[in-house]
Amino acid sequence: MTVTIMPARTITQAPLSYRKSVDWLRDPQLAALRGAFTRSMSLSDERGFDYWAGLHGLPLPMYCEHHTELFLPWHRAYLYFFELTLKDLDRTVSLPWWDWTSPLAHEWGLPSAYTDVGGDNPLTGGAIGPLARSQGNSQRPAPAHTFRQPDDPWRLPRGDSIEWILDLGDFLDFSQQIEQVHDDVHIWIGGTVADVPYAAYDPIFWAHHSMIDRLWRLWQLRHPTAGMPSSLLRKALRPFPITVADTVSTTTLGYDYSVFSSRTILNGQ
Amino acid sequence: MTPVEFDLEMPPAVEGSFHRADITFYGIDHGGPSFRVHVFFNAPGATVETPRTPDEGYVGSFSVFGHGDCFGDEGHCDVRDPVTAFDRRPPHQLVPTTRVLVATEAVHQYTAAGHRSVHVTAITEVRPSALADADSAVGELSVNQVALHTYS
Repeated sequence: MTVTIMPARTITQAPLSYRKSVDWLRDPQLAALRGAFTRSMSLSDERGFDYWAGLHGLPLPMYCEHHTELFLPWHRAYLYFFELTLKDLDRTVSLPWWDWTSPLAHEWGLPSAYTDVGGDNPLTGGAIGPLARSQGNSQRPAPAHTFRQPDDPWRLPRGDSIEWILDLGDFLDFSQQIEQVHDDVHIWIGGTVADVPYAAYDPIFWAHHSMIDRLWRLWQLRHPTAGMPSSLLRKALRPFPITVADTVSTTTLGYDYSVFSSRTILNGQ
Repeated sequence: MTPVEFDLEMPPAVEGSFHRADITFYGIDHGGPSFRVHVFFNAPGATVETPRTPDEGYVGSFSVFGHGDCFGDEGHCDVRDPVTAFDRRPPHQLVPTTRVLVATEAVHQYTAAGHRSVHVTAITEVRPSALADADSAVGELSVNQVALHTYS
């Protein structure tokens, strides 16, 4: 019997990258993620983790947008640009999302990919840079390294508490409610993740925010004509060189969300 | 920590008059450590240890991811208004925020039981972090006003 392998079609359009559930990452994907974080953390310039973590909180200025209409667009831009710096180090890497509503999370809490201490796992935490620490030394000494104090796993948000939020038809209503869930999880993780100035120095921050960004994406799919107030669209998302309008579509930014993805590369494409 | 307590007028008990009820907290100060707020109806002695069940008057909770502290020079965290009509700078980061606690079930329950007003107790809880411990004297919840809005 002769087996004929048909050549793959030439890809003429750049494929999207897919952010995957951290619970479903295969070993090579997790190894690549850890490798990229390790290398990013070794860079002390504007390509590195320390610089990007600092944009959210300390050192000043603290650019993050909380409790405003820009909460979702600003953090989408933030993840997008940081993820590009990881891709500079390893093209296969995307930021995974941590589903804190899953049965696994409600039994064990934080995902093991971010808590396993073997092999110098960079996802367990990060150093807080000297400039951030010097500015943070006010009433309490600033920590040199992130730490977590997670609450009981059953206190994490439940799936049914997210479903009704995804059903909301108005963008600002959705944004307000999902930000409250976002705040809940920051405080649930505790430690430096509960502190705006230091939160992004912990790699779990990025997995949590990928989940929030994914929920916005799911909301957009559920309400394709809902949009957002036109007055928001032209607002700048400092310090990033884009506006809110640029963040509306994830696929225009080159990514989407899946639970699990695998890819077979044929003919070097 | 001293809870915030106040009375809130309830809507008339007209069946089907609303399908959603929001308790909206306006003007919340978020300049300090992160905190949770637990809201109870008609439970004036409630504390952070009170079981969060409807039988105890529990309505719901919300969290506020706080700015942490002021890390700049003097005046850095003073909320400034626009200095001219042409001031295109974004609003100050510490403009007080709003939290919307969706409380449809509780409001239905209390209006159906004939309550024309309820006594609200809002208890603040702070979890340990780099900027706070559970006993942090961050002060009571600072909020300008609270409103109940229902929607049909």
